[in-house]
Amino acid sequence: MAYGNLNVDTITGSGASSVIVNNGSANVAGFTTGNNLQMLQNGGGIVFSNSSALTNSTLNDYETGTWTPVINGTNLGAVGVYTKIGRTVFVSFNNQTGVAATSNGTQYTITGLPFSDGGDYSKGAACNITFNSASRSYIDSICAGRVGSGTTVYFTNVSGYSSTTSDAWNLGAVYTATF
Amino acid sequence: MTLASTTNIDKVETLQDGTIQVRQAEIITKDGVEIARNFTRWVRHPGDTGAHTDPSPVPAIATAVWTAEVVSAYEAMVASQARGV
Repeated sequence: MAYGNLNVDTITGSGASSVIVNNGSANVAGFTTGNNLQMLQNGGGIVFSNSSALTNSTLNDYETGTWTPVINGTNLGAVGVYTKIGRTVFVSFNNQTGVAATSNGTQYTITGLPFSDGGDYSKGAACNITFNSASRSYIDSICAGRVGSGTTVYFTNVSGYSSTTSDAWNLGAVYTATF
Repeated sequence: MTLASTTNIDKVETLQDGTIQVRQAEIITKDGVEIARNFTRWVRHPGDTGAHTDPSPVPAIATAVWTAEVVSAYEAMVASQARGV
């Protein structure tokens, strides 16, 4: 059995560490400036089990950031946000106006999701899309949405009403990334 | 006190089907010390010409990974999927 080291030291990288765990061949974890515990090797994570099935009980990814929704082929300059926990991705955008008018029954697409779901429609997830209708005194109108085809959301206006370019659109979706 | 912002592609993930996931980091430094890092992501599927105008190293990776076989296999996979809401 190889023994590692616990060092009080500093390293270079995305955050200098004051305490480093070394497994005998590489630094694997450290407390960074800002008092964060940081995994220093790609794929490293937190294992919530002492079983041998590590891949099923390891939290090895967390990330937040932004993405650019492109609605029916048009980039309206909207900024979407995402949070990825393991393989689960939460994406959203709020109050996006300028979307081309949709009549009831029209199918649209939103592309630009930050992670691929592998392009398999069978893995797609239903999602919530609404538009805040000016013609209906700003009542949220529900559309049917689905994540599928890698990084595309398909949605159909099933609200019974038409939207205008001044209506604000909102998306909230959860799906499973390839990894 | 000097604040500075730089952006770079800090992570590129290539999936089994040839899809390339790109992460761009905006790094904020104060007197040379990083104080914040914000991420923006996008995805390029095999054959997406937009990849060739992305920042380095995405174009080179796309050129290397997206062989004619990879692109045609991806297109066939997409075509095989039943579209619908």
